[in-house]
Amino acid sequence: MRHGYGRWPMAPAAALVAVWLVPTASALPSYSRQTGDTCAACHVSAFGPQLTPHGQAFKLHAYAESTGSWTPPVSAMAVVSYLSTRADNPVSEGDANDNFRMDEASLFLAGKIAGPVGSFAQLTYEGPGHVWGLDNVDLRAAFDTVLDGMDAVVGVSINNNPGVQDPWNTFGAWRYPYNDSEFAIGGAAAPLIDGGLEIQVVGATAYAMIDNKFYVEAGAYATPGDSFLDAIGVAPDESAKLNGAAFYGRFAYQKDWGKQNAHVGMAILDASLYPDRDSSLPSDHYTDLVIDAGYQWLGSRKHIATIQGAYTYEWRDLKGSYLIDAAGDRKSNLQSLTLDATYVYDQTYEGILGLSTVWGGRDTILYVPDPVEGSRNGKPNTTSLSLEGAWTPFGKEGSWGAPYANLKLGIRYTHDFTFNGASSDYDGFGRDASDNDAFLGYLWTAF
Amino acid sequence: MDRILIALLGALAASVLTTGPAAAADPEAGQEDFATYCGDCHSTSADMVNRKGPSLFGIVGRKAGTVPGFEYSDANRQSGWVWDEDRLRGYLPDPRAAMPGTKMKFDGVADSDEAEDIIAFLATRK
Repeated sequence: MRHGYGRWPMAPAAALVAVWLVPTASALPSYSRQTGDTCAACHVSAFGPQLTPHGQAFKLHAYAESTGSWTPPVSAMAVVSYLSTRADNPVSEGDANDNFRMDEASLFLAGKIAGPVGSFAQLTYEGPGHVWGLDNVDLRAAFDTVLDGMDAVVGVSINNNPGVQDPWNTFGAWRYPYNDSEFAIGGAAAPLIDGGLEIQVVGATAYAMIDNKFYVEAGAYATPGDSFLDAIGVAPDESAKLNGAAFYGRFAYQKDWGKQNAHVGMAILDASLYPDRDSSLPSDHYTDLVIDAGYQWLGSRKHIATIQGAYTYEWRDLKGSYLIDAAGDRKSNLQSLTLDATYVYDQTYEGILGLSTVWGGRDTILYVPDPVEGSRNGKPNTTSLSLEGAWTPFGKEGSWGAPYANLKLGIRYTHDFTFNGASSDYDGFGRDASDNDAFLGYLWTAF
Repeated sequence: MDRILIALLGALAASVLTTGPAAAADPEAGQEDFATYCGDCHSTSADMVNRKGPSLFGIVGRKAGTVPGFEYSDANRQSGWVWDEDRLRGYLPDPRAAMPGTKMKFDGVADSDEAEDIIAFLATRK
């Protein structure tokens, strides 16, 4: 899910990376047509995006595995949602409440391009903003080899969102919630690695999965030129601007027993951003350290259960923002914890419980009172709990319309215990955290 | 006398139970094990769908490397194997050791009971 003009977080408040940066991509039917596999082979439900080991292996092999016959690497997707919050949102970019809209429609270049080269490239029409633009892109090349006597997959990824290339669903681009309304009310802060550089950077990483157990990856990202950003639908003056290259690193250990699998890992993003994109100022420095883990019981796929989560610690040195009085403290931190548990029956009926919490130091300049989206006490602390149910009728062996018909219908209720630092009058204008409690209904289709 | 007879019958029964043939393979359990270990890459539907791996409908008794429309490895195509139950029994625990050069990226079914159940299930798919 991309966000159009006017919605990118400003660089001085890169601290204020909004939590509504939720990418949206489902199981892509072009991958299914290319491999002959069902959507349910690669995804925990028959729609996605949470990957099984089979899906992870397909991604690590550069989306290029196939039956041998060429199929067009093209897919399309659309998301329609209805969002109702407990209290009206007077600063919503849509209606104050009860927004029923097409959130986005996407075209994908997704699949094998040639040999060991494949792609996941998304072009998205954002319904509310009526704009087209490039969305998440992950171009890869990979090959099998032997390292020190162990089978290994070695590859490179060129992408535009640190973490979009990750094979797990615990942080960044692919963590829960997997979709949301464009009008969802997001908290004031999230770690930079959770979408703060999404689509605004270009980077390359090299990775290896060794013995199907050890995953290592490292690479760097940079800000492309303004004309490039403009061409892909990102407003340069509203996007983040890196000072030099940002470093990304990832290590994980996984074990796959067939019926069940687990992983534990860590990721790091180290980036310097210019406040207000002003390169004459000192830059703000962010270092995000993510510790993540996950477990999946797949069995015979009749009953599937997963639990996964990530803890992130973000060190901040807001030298530039502090200098221009855009931050009250030069050095601070932000922490977040996300957990989600999923149960799927018969690859069709899905229930998800998700917890998300963000907390950090008090900064009355960075987090200011403002209707709905502000903070009365200068704290970013937000904690929410979601309960979701979804129905995925297609995407399995023998499904109607396979591999073209794909549909997910879902409902989600989210309760905010605290929002931007408080449970009551959190914004300084009398709004309570529970006023943001939201009911979401969605229809998500891909073909 | 009755006690001696009962003891003898008991010993005979115990002997049969401990030295008799292994429990019959269970194709229903094999269907579940197939879904666990094989179903991501292989289909057994009668319409002969190839996935990352070739269709396994009718696999038992079929010559290796002969499903139309699937690009086999040279090792598979040139093996000259026929997939009878003994061949599957030797292959499933460690496919890459049994057939060096196979395209199949799978460590194998380590549990021999599960492998037998899968073979029994595959034998029903014809």
